Amino acid sequence: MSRILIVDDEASILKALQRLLRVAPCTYGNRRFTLEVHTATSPLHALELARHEEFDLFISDYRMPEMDGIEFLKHAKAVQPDAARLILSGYADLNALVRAVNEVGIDRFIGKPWNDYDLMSAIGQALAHRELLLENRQLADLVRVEMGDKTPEQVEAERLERLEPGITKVNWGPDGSVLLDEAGAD
Amino acid sequence: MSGAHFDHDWQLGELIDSHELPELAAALARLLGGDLALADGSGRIVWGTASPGARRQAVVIELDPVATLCSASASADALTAAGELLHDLLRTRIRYRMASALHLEVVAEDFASLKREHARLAESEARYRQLASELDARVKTQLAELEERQQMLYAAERLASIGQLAAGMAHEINNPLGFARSNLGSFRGYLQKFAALRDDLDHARAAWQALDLDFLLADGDELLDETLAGLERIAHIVADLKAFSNVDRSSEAYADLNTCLREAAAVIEAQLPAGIGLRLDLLPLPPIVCLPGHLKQAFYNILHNALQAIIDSGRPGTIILSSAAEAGRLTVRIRDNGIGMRPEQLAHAFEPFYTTRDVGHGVGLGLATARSIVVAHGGKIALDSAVDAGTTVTLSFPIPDD
Repeated sequence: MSRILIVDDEASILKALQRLLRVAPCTYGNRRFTLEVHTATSPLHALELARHEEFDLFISDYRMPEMDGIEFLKHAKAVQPDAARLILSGYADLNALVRAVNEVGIDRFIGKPWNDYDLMSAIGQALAHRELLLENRQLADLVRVEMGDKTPEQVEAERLERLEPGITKVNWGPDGSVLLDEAGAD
Repeated sequence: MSGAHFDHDWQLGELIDSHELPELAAALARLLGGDLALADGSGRIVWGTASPGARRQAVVIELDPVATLCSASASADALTAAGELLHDLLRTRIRYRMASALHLEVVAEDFASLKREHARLAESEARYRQLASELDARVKTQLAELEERQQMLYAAERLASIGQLAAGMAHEINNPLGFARSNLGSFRGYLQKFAALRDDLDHARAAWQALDLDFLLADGDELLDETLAGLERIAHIVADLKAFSNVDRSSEAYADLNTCLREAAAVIEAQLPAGIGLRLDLLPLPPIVCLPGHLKQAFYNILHNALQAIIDSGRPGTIILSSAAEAGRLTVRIRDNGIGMRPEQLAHAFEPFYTTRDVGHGVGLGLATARSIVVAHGGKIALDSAVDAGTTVTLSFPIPDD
């Protein structure tokens, strides 16, 4: 089950995407993904969700009140670096596109109005690519442990760090106490 | 003009006419009581016959010998006296001749210099006349050039604002277009499910459940409602655009400024992000003869600036659009509580190509265009702004008395 979070300030867009993702098959090659779709009309609300639940893919509109899609995806990336990211937007100038690629590293930029088939295959590709990367990392870690390049403890620490960025970096106080980052506590 | 200068060396012949000479010489001869010959400065005998061995008395004026008296009979004293007499006579003559020659010369010189002056004046007049005509031609070509450039500027600005408009509209249209299209695609899927039910009518109830047709029926209804609402939105935007787009039709019309304001506001309203409001306080106005398309463009440009100013301030805000007929003029005020302008920005605000935006985010022609449109209507435009408090643009147009 792949979990997707879609953010768009337009509720009708979210409804349409939910309908589409509910019935259309999402495949890539011979890999078939079943999707669990979550939606948010506010990027702030979506970020709140992302802090508490894990997602495989974020899809965001570009022009939204509160923050634009790039800002949202940047924050989402900080919380869940392994999730794939897509932008679905009716309009973006070149600047926005450049920022989206350079600052956020989006997998795809899809224009509105979208073509259902294109959108589904973009989602499939993004999910498959993400799966491949994770699998690759897992295998590489296995090999490194076997060859003695890494200890199982290091691998576990990296896994935890990915799960909860910042968790393995202990902030020591001058008196030997452990300082908890307030920003990480919310 | 005589070739001789007034102060040249005078000759005897010039001083004493040929008919005077014999009388004078005869008188001198009688005085001397004997023979007498008179020679000129060069020694040529001009009167009488000089006997050989005659006494000679030269008459010298200003170092030059002018005449010589020759006499054999006269005593040296008498000859000297006669010489002095002739000297005085000749000198008097010379003075008189000099004066008259000088006078003539001066008159002639005056005339010549007058003629030279005249020629010079005539020449310079011709030159100025030529310069003036050249200048006229040059002014005309430069004016034409300026006008052409201004036309190009306004064409560029119009294109730029059409570009801005297109960008805003694209977003507005693509959203409803996106979900409407996708919804219809989903609806086709729903219909296929109903087709599947038709194929399995024998077990209709079970198939109905299996296909989740209750959900499809309810959701299908909602889907069509949303799709229709989306299409309605697109129709609205297109209607707004159509009302706005007679920008290029530059025909005069008897129009109500409030209508122009409403149409320009409708276009900007479609682009308002959340948190930014638009309020219209329009009082009834008498219609005036104007170019409605151009005025709408001017209003749109100012409204667009107001919107940008609020977006730049990073706060929620309101654009207030008011109009009134007061003191024989129509007044339109567009007020925002956005970021405002600094005095130096305010000073340049109407200059073409002055922009506070980054490169690629506005060419700096919006207010310049607005002003030229307002001025073309005999109106005035004024800016009043304070940093972080907002900007008020006041436009006023004369109401023609009839």
